[in-house]
Amino acid sequence: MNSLLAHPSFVLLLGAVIIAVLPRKYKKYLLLATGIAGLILALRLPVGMEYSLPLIEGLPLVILKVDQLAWLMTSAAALMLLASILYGWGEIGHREITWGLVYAGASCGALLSGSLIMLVIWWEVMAAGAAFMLISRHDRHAVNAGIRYLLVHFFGGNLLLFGIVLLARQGYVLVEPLSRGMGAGYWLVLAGVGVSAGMIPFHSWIADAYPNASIAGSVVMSSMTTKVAAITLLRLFAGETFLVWMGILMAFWGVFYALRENHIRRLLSYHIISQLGLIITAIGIGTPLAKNAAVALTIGNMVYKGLLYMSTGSIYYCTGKQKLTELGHQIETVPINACFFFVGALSIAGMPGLMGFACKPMVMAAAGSEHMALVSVLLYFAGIGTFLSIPLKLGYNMFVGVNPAPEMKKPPKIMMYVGMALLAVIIFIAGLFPGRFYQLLPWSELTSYTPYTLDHVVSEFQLLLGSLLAFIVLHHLFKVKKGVSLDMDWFYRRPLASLVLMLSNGLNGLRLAIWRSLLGILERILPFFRNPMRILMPWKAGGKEDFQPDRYRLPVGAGASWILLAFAVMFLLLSAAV
Amino acid sequence: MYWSKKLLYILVPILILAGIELLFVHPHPHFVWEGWVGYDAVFGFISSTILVIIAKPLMDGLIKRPEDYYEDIYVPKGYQANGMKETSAGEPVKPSKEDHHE
Repeated sequence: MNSLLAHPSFVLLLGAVIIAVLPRKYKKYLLLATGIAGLILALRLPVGMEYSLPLIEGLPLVILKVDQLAWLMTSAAALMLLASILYGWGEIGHREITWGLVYAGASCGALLSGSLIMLVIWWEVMAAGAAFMLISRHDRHAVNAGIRYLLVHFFGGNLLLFGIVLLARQGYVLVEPLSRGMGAGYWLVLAGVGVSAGMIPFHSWIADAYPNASIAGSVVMSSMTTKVAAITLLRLFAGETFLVWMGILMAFWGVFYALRENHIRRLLSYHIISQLGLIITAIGIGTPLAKNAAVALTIGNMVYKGLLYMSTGSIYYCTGKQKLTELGHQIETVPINACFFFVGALSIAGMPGLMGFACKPMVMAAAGSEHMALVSVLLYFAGIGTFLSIPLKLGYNMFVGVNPAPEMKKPPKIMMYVGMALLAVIIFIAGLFPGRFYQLLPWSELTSYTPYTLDHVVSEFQLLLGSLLAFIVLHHLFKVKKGVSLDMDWFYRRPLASLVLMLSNGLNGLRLAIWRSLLGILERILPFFRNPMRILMPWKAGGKEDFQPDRYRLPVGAGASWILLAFAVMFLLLSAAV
Repeated sequence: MYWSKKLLYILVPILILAGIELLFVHPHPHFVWEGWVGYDAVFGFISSTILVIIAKPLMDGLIKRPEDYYEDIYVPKGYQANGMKETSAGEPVKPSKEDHHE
């Protein structure tokens, strides 16, 4: 029991329940306390601890299993939760607080669970928490996006559950590397985790949900679901060659859509797909260096993508605008915010000195040491798109650009800068002292990778300058335009919606036809239910429709004789029956 | 060309970096092309060009739609999302009794 109390999910879920019933003005203080307690518990998790209960037929239900990877990822998730609590201080909706804590708690639970069935339970809670975070906003778009999120994730969760049940029949119940020989269960679990990891036919929920979350909500959401899914893929499917090519497809897909996008937070969301592609490729390569690279890139993405969501979110907070065509010259109005943005943006592009340089080239090095020439070239190719889409396209158009600066509705809050500064410090520490960061990675004894060699730094700068040259020469192609880009979500937002609408219209038409025909029948037979006096005693009724008691009331004896007659008939019938 | 000066600011550092690479870097490349001087700058330029040409002009024709493409698909024509009927001036009015009955 003691070990269950050490579970960070426990304190986060407890906090969620207490905050739900607390008076509104105290909620944010307990939220902060819960966030800090979650981080402390996550950091204090002892590596090697395991807590399990016996399940059916002697199979264990491993609720808590802490290895180096689980410890690292849980700490990173708790840290991101704390950073977004600081960032959203006083701005998070009252219901959103509760659902956000449920969501974060479920994410930590999924990272720490050692049994597949425990994983799928947390998986569903995570989906519900995130969806209700969206639905609890008073915004029609967010509610619709939340419902779509719920549908996509319950689909994925059901695939996962189906696969896990099939695997359990063969006796595989633990979160351990799976192999292709396990049959259909293997592929179902891969698809189920793949929905949450944003694999290609099922990726568009990312670009649908995250831009519709609140500004702090998108920070939390971007650092949980997809990252938990990536770590689950790493635990279950490391070395699966399918993932290499799926990852490369995702890396390109995300970059193309990010280059097209006008909505600032949707651009970042599309770019998440690209970064997940790099992570998934690394998982597919599956050597210790590649697995380390996947973990490093996952944590890096949580931190610098979180910082980017924060800085773009605070521009949305200040101006109320989140289209690039409506933004410009923000560097004059929010210069500190611009600094934080460029720290995150250059980090994600892989600028030496920042965290991205410690993470991203590791993936390419892993591909190189396995002599995967095509994979390596394609990864560099897609990686260029990061520099083009985030610091250049987003940064240039948002902070410099051609449009005039929109009116500032309110100044940014100091606490927003506190949250951003926390992440920026981590980016600088990990970027400047990568050795300390690499020591934390799970397979660090088996690998040696030094980012700061002269040829790495020189080639990275050459790559960045070469793309900058292309950005300047082809600046007319990078001009942002209004409009949306169709993606896979078109299938369930247009044809499926039309189909549902058509079916519901058809059923409604059927209902109306039945109702109309009933009305018609009623109209036909209504004359027979008119005032009977018109037929029986027309001289007394005088042709009048409405009942007039003074004119034609029957004597009491008539009523009594009717009752007597009915009684006699019933008596005869009953006695005949008996 | 108005951006010729900007180009100079970028081309000169690239050349300097290529010079450093030529003189001081003794690479142990995984692949043969990683040893070529200035390979990364050229690769960056060419791949950026290809990426943006695919992303913008080519994909525009296929998947570009107006901004309000997904708006209000669930709402019948002439109605706003809150069930109010739109007048010709765009001002919402309360639905009258006839609207609810058939």
